[in-house]
Amino acid sequence: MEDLKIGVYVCNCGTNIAKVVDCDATIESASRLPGVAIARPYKYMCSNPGQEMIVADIREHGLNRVVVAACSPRMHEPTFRKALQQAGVNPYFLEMANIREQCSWVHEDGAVATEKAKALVKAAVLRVARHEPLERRSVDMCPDLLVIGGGIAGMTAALDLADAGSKIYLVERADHLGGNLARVDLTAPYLDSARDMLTDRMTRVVEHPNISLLLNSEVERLEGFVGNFQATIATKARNGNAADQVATVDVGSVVVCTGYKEFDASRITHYGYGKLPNVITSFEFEKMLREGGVETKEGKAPQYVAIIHCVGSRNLEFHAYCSRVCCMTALKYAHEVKSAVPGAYVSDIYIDMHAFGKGHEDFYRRSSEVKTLFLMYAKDDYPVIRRADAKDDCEMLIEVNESLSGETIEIPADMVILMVGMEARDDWADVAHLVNISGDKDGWFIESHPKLDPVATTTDGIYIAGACQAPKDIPDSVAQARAAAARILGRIAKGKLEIDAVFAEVDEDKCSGCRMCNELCPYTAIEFDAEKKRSHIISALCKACGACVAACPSGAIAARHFTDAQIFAQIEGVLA
Amino acid sequence: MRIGVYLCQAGIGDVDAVNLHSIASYAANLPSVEVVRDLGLLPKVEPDAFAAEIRAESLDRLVIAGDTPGFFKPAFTRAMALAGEDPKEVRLASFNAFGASSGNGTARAKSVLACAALGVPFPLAAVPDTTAVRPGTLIVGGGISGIQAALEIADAGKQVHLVERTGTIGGHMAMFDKTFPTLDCAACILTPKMVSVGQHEMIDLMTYSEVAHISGSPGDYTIKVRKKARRVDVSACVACNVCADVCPQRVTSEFDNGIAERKAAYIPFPQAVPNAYLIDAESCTYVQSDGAKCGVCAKKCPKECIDLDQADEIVELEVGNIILATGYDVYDATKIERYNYGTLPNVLTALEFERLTNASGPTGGKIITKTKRVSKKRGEEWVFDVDEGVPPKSVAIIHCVGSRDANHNAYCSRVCCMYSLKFAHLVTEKLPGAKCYEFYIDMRAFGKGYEEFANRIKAEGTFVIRGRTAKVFAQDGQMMIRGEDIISDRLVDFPVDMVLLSVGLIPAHGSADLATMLGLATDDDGWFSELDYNASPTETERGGVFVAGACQAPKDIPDTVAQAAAVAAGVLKSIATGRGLNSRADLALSDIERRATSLVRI
Amino acid sequence: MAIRANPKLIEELETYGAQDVSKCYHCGNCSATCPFSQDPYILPRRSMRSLQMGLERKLEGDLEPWLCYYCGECSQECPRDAEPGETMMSLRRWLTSRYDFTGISKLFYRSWRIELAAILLVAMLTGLGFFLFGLSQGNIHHYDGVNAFLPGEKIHFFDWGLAIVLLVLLLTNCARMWWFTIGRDKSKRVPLTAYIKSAYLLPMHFMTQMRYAKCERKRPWVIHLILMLSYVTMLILIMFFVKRMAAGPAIDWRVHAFGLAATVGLLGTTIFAVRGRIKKTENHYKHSHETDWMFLILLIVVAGTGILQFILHRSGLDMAANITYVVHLMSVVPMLGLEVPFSKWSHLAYRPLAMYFAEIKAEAARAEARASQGVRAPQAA
Repeated sequence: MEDLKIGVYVCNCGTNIAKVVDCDATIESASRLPGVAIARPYKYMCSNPGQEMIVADIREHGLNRVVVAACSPRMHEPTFRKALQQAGVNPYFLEMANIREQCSWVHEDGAVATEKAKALVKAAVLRVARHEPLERRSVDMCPDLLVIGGGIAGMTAALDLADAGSKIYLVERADHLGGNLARVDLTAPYLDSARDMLTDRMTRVVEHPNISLLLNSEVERLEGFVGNFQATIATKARNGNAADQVATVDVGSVVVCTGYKEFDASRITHYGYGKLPNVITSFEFEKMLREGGVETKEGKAPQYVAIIHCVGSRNLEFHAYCSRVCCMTALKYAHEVKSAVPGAYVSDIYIDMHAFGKGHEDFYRRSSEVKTLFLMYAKDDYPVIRRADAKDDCEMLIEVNESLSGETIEIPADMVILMVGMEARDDWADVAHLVNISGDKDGWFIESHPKLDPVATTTDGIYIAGACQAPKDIPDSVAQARAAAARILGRIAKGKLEIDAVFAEVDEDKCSGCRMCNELCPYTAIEFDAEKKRSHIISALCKACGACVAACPSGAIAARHFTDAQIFAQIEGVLA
Repeated sequence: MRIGVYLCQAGIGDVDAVNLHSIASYAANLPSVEVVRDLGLLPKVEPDAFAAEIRAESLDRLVIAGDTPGFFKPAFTRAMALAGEDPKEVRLASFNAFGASSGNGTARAKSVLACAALGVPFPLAAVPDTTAVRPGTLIVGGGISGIQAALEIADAGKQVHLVERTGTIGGHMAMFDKTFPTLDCAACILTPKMVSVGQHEMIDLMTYSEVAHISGSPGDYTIKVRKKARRVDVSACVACNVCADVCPQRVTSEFDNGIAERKAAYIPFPQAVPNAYLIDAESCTYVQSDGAKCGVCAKKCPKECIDLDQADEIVELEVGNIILATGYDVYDATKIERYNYGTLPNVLTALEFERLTNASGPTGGKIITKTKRVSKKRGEEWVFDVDEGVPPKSVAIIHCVGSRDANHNAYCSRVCCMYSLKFAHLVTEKLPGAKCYEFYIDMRAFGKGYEEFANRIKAEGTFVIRGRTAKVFAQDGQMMIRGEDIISDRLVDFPVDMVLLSVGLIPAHGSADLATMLGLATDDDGWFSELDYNASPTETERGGVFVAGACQAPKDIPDTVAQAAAVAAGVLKSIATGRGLNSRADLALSDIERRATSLVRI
Repeated sequence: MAIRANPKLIEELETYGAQDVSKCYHCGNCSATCPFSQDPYILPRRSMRSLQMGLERKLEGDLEPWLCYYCGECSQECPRDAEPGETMMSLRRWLTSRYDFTGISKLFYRSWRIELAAILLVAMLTGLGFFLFGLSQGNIHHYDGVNAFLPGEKIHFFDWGLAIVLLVLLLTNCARMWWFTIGRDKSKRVPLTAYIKSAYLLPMHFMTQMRYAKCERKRPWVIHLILMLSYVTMLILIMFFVKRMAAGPAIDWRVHAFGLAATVGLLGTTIFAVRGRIKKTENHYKHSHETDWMFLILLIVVAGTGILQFILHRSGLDMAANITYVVHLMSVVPMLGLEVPFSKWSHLAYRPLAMYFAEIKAEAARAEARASQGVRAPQAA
């Protein structure tokens, strides 16, 4: 083996790192480590000049290993691997020391942080010395697509890819397409027909030769890996006697567009939903609008209509997040009530008016102009609805601690519309498990990067679009669905996929065939060869999580790039 | 079937763009149309009265036509229900939604109405023919939106020409310090993408260039790009800074939003892509003196890559699709006199503060107030001086500067609430003893994790005051701020050391010219009009022309990225099949009628 | 105790001129811009809020509308074009109708036709009455002297009769204003000493309108002050010196100089106002209620006929002077009899009263705060 020539690069990350960690001291200590040929700082290692510095040093000084002390490898490991590759060094001869998230961002005491940074750099230097050259492999990319959910996002993603020539399996649990949007009459803020929009999409989906529409269906199982998934789809029989149909299809990518469900308004007792007959949810009001039946349960035209915002959203008790669409929907109702019941008085009880999109503020202004009475309440200080007395000219009274006047106000109401927020579907965890992605504490699926990669997930080949990622309005759902389509189209265009070289391997000689690892693997990447009585790992599925490595009683499993020697060297470095 | 057509104008669009008489007589001649009524502007629609008419005329389908007929739909739906007819049979013919507000508005309005009368969604009938598409794509604008779109398309192996007006890509995002709500450092997540663009073999990057002319038709556009003379050979420059060191001319730096200076020979910022210097002809002594004076940079350049006599160059491109990603400018705060921006030294705009707080900015990320400096040459001026500047003890942040205001821009700029909260966080984090005040109207924290971020900022001790600030003024040499604290029911009038104006967004300068070149509609505020607000937010009436990011309307980074990627889907789809859609504007009324009729038979 | 909102009130106020209140989204810009806005009287936003929600009782008790002089800064800076200045103006009209126990004011403000009809009716009756009265006891060819058509001393008698009626009406309304704004609120007791201590404010504000001078632009204040002083001068002349004014043939410059100056003041300022309202030169001239026009036209007619009869009389055209005098009275009587108690002109009493009441209430609140030692903790600043 040739002599080690390690280059150590310490990033200042602007002042993110440098303001706490003494970068010069870190470099000084690194330069004395065995095998280190060069150690240098730079303001932004990830920038073009930063990377070029590495490339130039490799070429000039013949470096054969590189340590970058900067941020989390999740952020920039691919960036620097590319730099190594560009300079003609195997990209796996890189190790990152995370001195930002693990040092400067978590410690206030500069001295302590610097000592820790030194230790992490040392660990990285010792580890990188034991790195082995690894090669990535490429696999075929199946152009076909599985779309889970037939709402606006799912249909949009399906249509884009189908138009480009892919075969699409659009799986919808209900017996019709359209999702929650099918329950809506008009869209905000231009009051266009939601039905026309859906009819357009649905007609295209149904008539599209490349789309295989599977209604009354659910995905039961998803196996395989990016470019090569096998999905098992069960379709419920139309009549009770026939057996359910189960089909298995091959797809290259999966787009999850499972949408949302509305918050259960009866959970907020102050509003009397379920007890007071004319307290209804926004979706119940949509139904009235569609059927032309804007009237109280007693069949009268309501004189006073109140709309309460943030039902289930933006509070401590239920959901902290904003549901994003309710404000505009509420403004839409203000117009619709005035249209259906001329002369009605509308009060709109809100916290902050989220009219942020194109045309939204104008819509808000117009709602004011038609004399909607806006009342502001403070978060967690719910209005209270009670029955009015016989002498009142209304059915209910809503008591609000009104913030803009500082008064406690009683508003008359004959009908109260609760703007129920969006919630993750009850079975979000099952769906997440099915396609091997994760959800946040609210059950919204987690994207790969909240800003720069809002459609991909941590599992390659699985994309998310629409409100299953977070509450979203129609244009944003459509944009996200199309973004997912773009990502998939890009991959299809290339035909082949590169697979990471890091995965676990079973040493067949040591394997005892105990099958302990088989059940443990979260990615179902381990299969058992009954003939040989040995376990075998499908490398393309393996995410190198290391669960099997730790569990194997015979020590037969080793993860590439995470060998015992490498890890022990790293530990030694940290402890020394 | 007996159809009643009602023309109702809500007064939202350009009401005069269509000829209602012509539309009414057209409607009267449509099959099954029995009643046509022009109810005029803002009609009062009484469901009971209309129910009577529906009964009397035995109508079983109503078409409401107008600029925004949805405003009247609930009344007509109710009338149908009262008359015992199917309330679903109320159809909308929305002129505004389907582009009948300009050009041949009347013909478009007729086609929209014909579709509604037939019960066919307009977008389903109004599908233009396809046309062959060239594989190349032009992207105008190198901000995060253009970068994202370029990478999505180039990663699929398709050719992209990315034209950027300034000397580097990166756009506004490159100026930011942190991004909300995760507080990722903007440079950390952006620069790798910029580097990828710079290195991508499928991306033809043209910085310091402008689109001069566009001709051709959907799928086959010819573009003339003016490559402004950079006067530095990009491929040879190693960004050694010698030219800037020797350059005698100092001017204010655009990238630092005027809070620092640069030389006439400069690089916008150290991580610029391409990583090469350029000579600003406007301020270069050599260029301005027609070669009589100076020229020292060219002499000193160790790579001999400066050509001060270089001229602009016109490059011609042939592309199939065009993506507009021209982004935004910020509102000119001097227009709002009551905030005294430009007269009081420590009133800063948002972008100025981004640079001030940025680790790679002029003060190295230190938040300080300006220091007065007097020199013979330039007189009295206020500058950020790292050595002498003191940190402010109190900072006020004013939301909605130029936004949500009939006297300025009536629309909401969507990003200011969140970036203002981010500023509050940066102030309280960097200056632990300082007080920070936010003056807002509605706290629009609507995105994923935004509300939680707003809660966090309040918990960090920022005073969040509901009320628009009325004015910022000086009193006995101290800056004062006056506003109403509505929730506490009192007026506040107190001294502050620094005021940050959360200026709103306006369409980028020059975007109107692009719109004219492409025959593209913009809304009243100048943002590019999308084909359909809900259904097609990234396409335009013009075939092969897409909009991405903030040039369509103000947008934050995640939404911009999603939209930019979405645009790529449209482009890639057309390249993959070799066919793209023609302009919808070119569709003839008879074509739409025919197609709508055929769809009914199905 | 919760206050019941009345979403219908905003519609009622439309007839008083408040067309744009509902547009307000409560940014607070207006209150902070307003030069009169000062703790505890924050205006105009609070009034806008009470009006949007229809808090009638609260609005009745508010002094804020009277503290506003309509400089229009608020309307100019309003981001929603909600016209807060005009809203305050409308509220003043509404409050006038509320203070007026007869209900006539309400009729006038809600229908300009009724007001116009009332003015014309009173004018006709006045004209007829004085004409018949003149014929019954004098000669139309004589302006003064023994056969005078309308002798000064008799007119004087009539003046005082009208003045007493008006005073009773106005004082009753002022008492109601006190009841709404101070008396009714049992929770806050205003000590008698406060009334006495601040009593000087009443004549001071009445005579100087010094508060108006706080507006950034001073011209509206000057115009208004000239108009008001001219009017008061005229009033004093008529109430006490009408005999000398009508006497001839010698000119008594001790009264006539004042009369001429006041006439010039009245004509000048009203013509300025009419021109302003037509051309919308000032913020407060942008919106004109019908009652504003009627008020101005009456003033011009009064001042015009006043000076005309003087000229005619001096030119020896006694009959023409007498007829003009009758026309003059036909405009004076409805102006005083209708405008002062029931319409726009009542503000000559309400405004200074409001300043006085405002100070008393604030003083009482301060005393209460001192007593309870409740120092308000600084919240945001």
